[in-house]
Amino acid sequence: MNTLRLVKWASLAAVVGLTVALPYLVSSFYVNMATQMLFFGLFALSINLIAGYGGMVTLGQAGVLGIAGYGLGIFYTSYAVPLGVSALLAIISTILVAAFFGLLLVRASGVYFLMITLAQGMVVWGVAQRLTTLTGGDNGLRGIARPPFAVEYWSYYYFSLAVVAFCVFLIARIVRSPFGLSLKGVREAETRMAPLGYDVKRIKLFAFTISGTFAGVAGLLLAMYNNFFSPPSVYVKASAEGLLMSILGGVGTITGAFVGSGVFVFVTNYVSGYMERWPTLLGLIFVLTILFTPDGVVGAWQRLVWAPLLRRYGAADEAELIEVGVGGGGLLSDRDLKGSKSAIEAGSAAPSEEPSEQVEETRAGS
Amino acid sequence: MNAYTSRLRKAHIAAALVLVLLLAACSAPGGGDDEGGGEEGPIKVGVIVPTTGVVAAAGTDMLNGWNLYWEINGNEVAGRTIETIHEDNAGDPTTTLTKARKLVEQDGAAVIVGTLLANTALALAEYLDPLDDVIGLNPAGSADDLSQRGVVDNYVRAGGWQSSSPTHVAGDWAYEQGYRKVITLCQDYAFGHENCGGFTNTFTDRGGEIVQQLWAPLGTPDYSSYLSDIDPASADAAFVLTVGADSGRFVKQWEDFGLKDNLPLIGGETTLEQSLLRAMGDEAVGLQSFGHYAEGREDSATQEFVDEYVDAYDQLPSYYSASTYTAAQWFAETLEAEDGDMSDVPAFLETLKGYQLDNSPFGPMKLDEHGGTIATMYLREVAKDEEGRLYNQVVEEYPEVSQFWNYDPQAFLEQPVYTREYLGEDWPESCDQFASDCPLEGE
Repeated sequence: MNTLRLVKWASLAAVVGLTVALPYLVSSFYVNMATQMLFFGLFALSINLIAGYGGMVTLGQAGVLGIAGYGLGIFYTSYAVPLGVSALLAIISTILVAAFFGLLLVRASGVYFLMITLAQGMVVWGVAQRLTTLTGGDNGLRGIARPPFAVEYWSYYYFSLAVVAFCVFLIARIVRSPFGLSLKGVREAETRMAPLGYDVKRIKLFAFTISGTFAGVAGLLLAMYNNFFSPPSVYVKASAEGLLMSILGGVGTITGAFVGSGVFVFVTNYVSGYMERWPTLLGLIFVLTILFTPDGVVGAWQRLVWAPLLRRYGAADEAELIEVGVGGGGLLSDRDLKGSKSAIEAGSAAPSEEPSEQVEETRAGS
Repeated sequence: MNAYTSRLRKAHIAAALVLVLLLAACSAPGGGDDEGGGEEGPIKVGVIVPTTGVVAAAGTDMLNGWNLYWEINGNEVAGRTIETIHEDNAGDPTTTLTKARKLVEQDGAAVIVGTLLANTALALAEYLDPLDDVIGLNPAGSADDLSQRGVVDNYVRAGGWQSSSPTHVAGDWAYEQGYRKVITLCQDYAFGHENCGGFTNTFTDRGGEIVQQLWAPLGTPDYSSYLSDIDPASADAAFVLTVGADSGRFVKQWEDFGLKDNLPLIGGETTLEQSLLRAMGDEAVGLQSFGHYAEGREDSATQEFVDEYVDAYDQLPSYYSASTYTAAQWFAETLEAEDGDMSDVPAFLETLKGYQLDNSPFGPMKLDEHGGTIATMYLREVAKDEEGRLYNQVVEEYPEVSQFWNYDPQAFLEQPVYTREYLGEDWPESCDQFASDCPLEGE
């Protein structure tokens, strides 16, 4: 077991080392690809937060991302607000809009939830397209600057890395917090949560708003990366791509979002230079993933590689957890697994690791 | 597990990470890309056109036109080989940026040619702007502002046009025809706004009235709700600008609703464009439109191009094909004039912009001081040739049309670009805002 833990930490260190050293190893083209992978990964992760952990599948997340992108562009280019302040205002706008969208969503679930998010995304797209005086319409907004200390491709990479790493840290905390566990409770058994004393609507609203905030951060990074923002970035296609990235990598995992965005960015940027039918390839990858490993690349890795390893090195209980499909994970979430396990053992979807604390907290808030 | 030590360990790791990140960010990584321009060796040219997605057909036309020029003339100019690298942007602005970065940074392209849709051209312009060693050729991205309020110095309209140039002529012509009340129906996005703006501006200058404005979103599956709104008795003519597959649907329904025989139609360039005429039938025959290109132009420059293109690809060339063909010619002849030397980019750009085509598939073409195309505009009419193919024949030519029409450039640039909110109905207010032929005088 210790060897395994060592392997795990060593690989984590290798990934971190590689991520940090990347601009010294490869050309600007690949560094730019990595930058895209980072913010698309954050976008996919924001979808994952509600779809994977909360079971609320959205097709309108690009609309939320767009509020931040357009907010930044409008404040910065049209009203000449300093970049930092524009970014802050953009994020505040995103939080407000996400909360408003969330209010319209809390009563819905399943297909209805999906349809409302789709409509919300299209509303943002429609406004972006039609409100030409503000958004530049189809021509988009030009002249969005990067922070003065991150203008070069490599410094922008580090900037994105720092921002995304911080967001991932926050999301990892949120997912494992009592709130995160109650969100999973909503996913597993929404109807049981209410009798247990949870305010389901409030949980959903919070989850949607938090997720929207992170999508907003991704939107800021996207807009500054391209120095440009236009309607296709908020179109339903962009939302669907984010959802597909998170499914491809593995729903309900943190690493999965980045694996998914990695595959996506690699195919659209690199493979498309050699293969004319690259959208078909992307489609094929998605179809095969859904057919053979519905829990995504990371899920498959855990089931087929990680679990047998754990079993061999005597951590059979952890391996079992993965095999019964409890859970998300990857490098970041062994505690998460334990939490879910105890939840299962308790025979209830409600998390039992810190039950009293959590119930109290939720009640105090309601 | 001791929670305190665990937390401490995490704090250490986090601190180490931040430190490494700071160290890494303090020193710039090296990395020079091999240049594709310079004085000698092959010149790498990146061509970004959509060959997948909704505008794939037109994008393929663009790629064909570009390749045709080099097939006919050989890919060696002034001792230098021209290497073309094609990238597909699927008609998407973000992908366009990605591909432009790839071409410049990875492949070392010194010249970028593209792209098709106005929003992708604007995105490309944004990327090219800060680069001082890369030249962009813009054959088809017709957004007005690229040569008006948002000029990017190293992104040159070579074989390109402005959306509102043909429609400025159309508005003036419509009044001349005796039309006083016109209905406009345009696609509801930037390109449609600019087209309708051009028409509305010049038509109302003369005293014409727009009696009804209809806006159809791009990708309107059915035009019946718009067409049933049109009362032929209420107007003298209709100006219509549709794009892509919308055009096919519109033209068919225009006939189905009996409007073809009851209301004169003034089409925009892309409503009756060759790449779309291929899929249309008799419903399109006889319809008139304004454009900067007509495959039926009876001049040798156009007809030779058309013949070569038909030989190579077995179909009539659209303006998309002609645009990249012209861009290739424009670039090749500039390179010839500079003796194959691209090392002095500003000088090369100057020669490129000062270049005049006495005769191209479009006719004579040159740029004004803002980088806007001055070219011949055509009133065209769809006809059928002996092989049953539809094509645009020339009814009338309007030579040397400026992007500013007859307006004073300074005054024109002080106005915003045409949008749904600003179509120039009330502008200009006085003859001061005209450079020549002020129509307000008689009023």
